Amino acid sequence: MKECKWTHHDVTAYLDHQLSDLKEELLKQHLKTCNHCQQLREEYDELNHLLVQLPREPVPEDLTKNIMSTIQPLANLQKASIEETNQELSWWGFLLRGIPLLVSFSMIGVITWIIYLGQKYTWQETPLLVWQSITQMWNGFWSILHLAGNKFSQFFYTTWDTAFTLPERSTGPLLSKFNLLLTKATAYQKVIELTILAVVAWIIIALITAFISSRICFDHGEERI
Amino acid sequence: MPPSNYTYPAKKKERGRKDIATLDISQSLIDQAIQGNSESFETIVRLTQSGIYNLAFRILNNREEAQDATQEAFVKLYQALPSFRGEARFTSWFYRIATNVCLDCYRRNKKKRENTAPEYMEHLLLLLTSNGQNSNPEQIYQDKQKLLRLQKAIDELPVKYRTVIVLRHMEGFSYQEIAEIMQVPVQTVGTFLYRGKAVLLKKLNSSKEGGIRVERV
Repeated sequence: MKECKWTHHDVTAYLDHQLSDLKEELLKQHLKTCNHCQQLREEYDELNHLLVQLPREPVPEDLTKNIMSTIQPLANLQKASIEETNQELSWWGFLLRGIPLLVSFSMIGVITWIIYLGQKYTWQETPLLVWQSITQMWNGFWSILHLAGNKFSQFFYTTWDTAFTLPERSTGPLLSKFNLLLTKATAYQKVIELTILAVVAWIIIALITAFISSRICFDHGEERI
Repeated sequence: MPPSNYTYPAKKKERGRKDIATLDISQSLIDQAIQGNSESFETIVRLTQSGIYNLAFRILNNREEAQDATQEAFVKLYQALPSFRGEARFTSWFYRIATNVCLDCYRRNKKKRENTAPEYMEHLLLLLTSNGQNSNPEQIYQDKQKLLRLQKAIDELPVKYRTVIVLRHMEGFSYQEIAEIMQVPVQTVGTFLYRGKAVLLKKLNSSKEGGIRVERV
């Protein structure tokens, strides 16, 4: 019997057009002269046709209904999850949820501070030192607030008074008023900077704590669908 | 070897049967389903369930199991849908999920599995009897016998060969897509196809001698 270099694999690949152009052409030429290969090609070709002819199993009538009823609880869960996510993103809920974590961080800070004082001085002195520090901080805070408030009220009063007074008291055109406003603002630059910094820092801390707490404290690591 | 006057049946696409592989689910439909629109998801189910159910049936050879596996595949699809990035075609991507589900199911119940699905053979006989395309009774009988032998041979194939043959010849996927679905190299798809078909051919006909060198399976 004649032995060919071509294999079954080549013939099936040839019928599925998976051979390279060169190999396809070579096998095509070979098929013209080799009866065995030609016969095998026909058999595989017929097999392919038979495979396509096999009827499909009809889909059960209630399959769609069953699938959708299986999916429904998951869909409800997903809907609830989306609503919860939207709720999380509301500003009020977002900030409200940040408070517990902010308090927790503050408590950790205070406890660390007490331990530090207890180690540096003595444990008997610590309560007094803490009290003194709190009093100092409180007074400092109020004095800063008072100073800032005082300076701000002065600033706004004088600015308003100088820039937008009646025409007979005005000393120049609108541009000069604007320049004057800038000059006044420059005079209170440090207060403005401090205030802006404090507001920005507060917003950042509030946002970070709210974000972290909403993820850690309230989601309980639930897997989202 | 068919007789010289044998007319091959028309090819799948020529007969107007729509392949699931050519089905293209629109991105907007997928997006709507991701957003939780159950009607869009139901449309996807209606469009793809036939292919998935048939794949499951061919792998598992059991209607009830095929139905369960199809449902499981759709649940997995629903859960995985938000992660679909459109890098592959939706049908290929979904078939990968479904194939994994079916193969897992097959492995779970491998020991108590029957090789043939008797109900399908009955259904096949019924279809072949009622579907008299050729008026020659002898030809009808021969065709019927061939298809029954083929069905039996397919049932006895190892599951990986069977899956590849189903994906290629019944669902109409390309080699590349089958490689993506089964997560194997394209060459392996070719090898599985050849080996599966060689076994089928061997069972359908008496073994041929000489001629083409048969590779060892």
